[in-house]
Amino acid sequence: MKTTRWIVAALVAAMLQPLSAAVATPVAGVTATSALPEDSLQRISIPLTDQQGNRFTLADEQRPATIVTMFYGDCHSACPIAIESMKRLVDDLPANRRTGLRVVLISLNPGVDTPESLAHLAMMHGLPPEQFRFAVAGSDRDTREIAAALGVRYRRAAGGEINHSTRFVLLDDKGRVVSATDKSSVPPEPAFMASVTAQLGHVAAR
Amino acid sequence: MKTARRLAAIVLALCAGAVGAADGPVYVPIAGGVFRTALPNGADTVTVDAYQLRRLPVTRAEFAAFLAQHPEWRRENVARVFAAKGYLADFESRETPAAAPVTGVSWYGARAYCESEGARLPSWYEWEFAAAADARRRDARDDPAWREQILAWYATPTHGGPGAVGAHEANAWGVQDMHGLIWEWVDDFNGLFVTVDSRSQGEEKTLETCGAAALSLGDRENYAVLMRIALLASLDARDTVGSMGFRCAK
Repeated sequence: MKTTRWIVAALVAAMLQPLSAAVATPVAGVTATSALPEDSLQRISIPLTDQQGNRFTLADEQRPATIVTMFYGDCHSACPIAIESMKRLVDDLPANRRTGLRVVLISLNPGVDTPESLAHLAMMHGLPPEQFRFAVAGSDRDTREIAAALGVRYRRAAGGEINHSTRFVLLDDKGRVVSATDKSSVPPEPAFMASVTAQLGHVAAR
Repeated sequence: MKTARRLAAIVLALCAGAVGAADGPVYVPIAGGVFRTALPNGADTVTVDAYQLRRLPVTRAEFAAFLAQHPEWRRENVARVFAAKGYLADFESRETPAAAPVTGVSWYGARAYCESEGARLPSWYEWEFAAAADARRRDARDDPAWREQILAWYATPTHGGPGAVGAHEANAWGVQDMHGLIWEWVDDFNGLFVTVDSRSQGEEKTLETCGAAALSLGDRENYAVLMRIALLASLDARDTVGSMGFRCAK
């Protein structure tokens, strides 16, 4: 009985601790090594290669709005929905706002997904590289770091499948997280769509 | 007699610990094998390849030496995206011995440290595999007495933070402090969820949102391990926990 009560207490403590860590307000401006904001994801310096063979990092994505998500090419269930969701999101934007946004889709499966296979995938979905950048990192280690930064959870399962959460993260021009959603749907989640529109409108009004 | 032999073994282990600290970190070989995990991944068992695991968690003294070489990871220099506010908050405290494990480190910081040692963080399966052992058996998890002993360790309040590393008897692999001292990061902390399958749109239940799901996992008698999974699954890479440190693997 005593043991049971203790276990409950320990579980509660275990769940509460990270919560308090998560709500801690970030303090900006402690001896930054560059002009980037303290919490900018552009500080993640993992090299990526896109479907055209270009090398880049998240720091190169400086449009007013960038949506980053992760997927893998052999995924025939959730990933096509995620891609379709992003396609619909772009289609639903006013034409004159679209150039302010780029969607970056990063592979969870380096070594299997290649620039060539990603180019093929982009073509199959009819997604122009100007608006949709498919990318892959050089290793599992680097891929896990990007996933950690984005809050994407994944692990490899038997049979080559990768179990993963579907997450879309909206960044501003400095790489700060504006909003994020774990809901993948067509059309995209209204609240997320609204934050994208607001971010582009906010910039246009500036 | 048995006690005397055991005592001698402990003394030896402690001496070896002192030598190890002076000569650099000691890694012990772990043979690996087929393993019944608390986190089944499509099958009840997983195969863990042979690896080496740090015998002891990384200490404050060792982390201080790392910071001297890599000042970008000091509390005052690290960017917020890599470390939450609590990062190394108690690191300067004089109350805690230098031989105590470093805690309050983010996943990024732990990863960078291991890289500086030519190593990496262990995967969850590697950690779980080595943690299944008691002093004599490589897998003692079916022994209720052993499970109770681990829980008793967690139930003991630690005043003023964890004590020095290496105070617990080495397990059958020669690894120390897997239980009873600190929580530990693993490299794939963000891979620890239960029924995650993105096909179940909207119904996805992760440990992050549903702690009770831990109890429906494979090794459900093993509360100590389930608590570790629950904690790890709830963290972000930048989070820091005052009682959480790490050890490295190769």
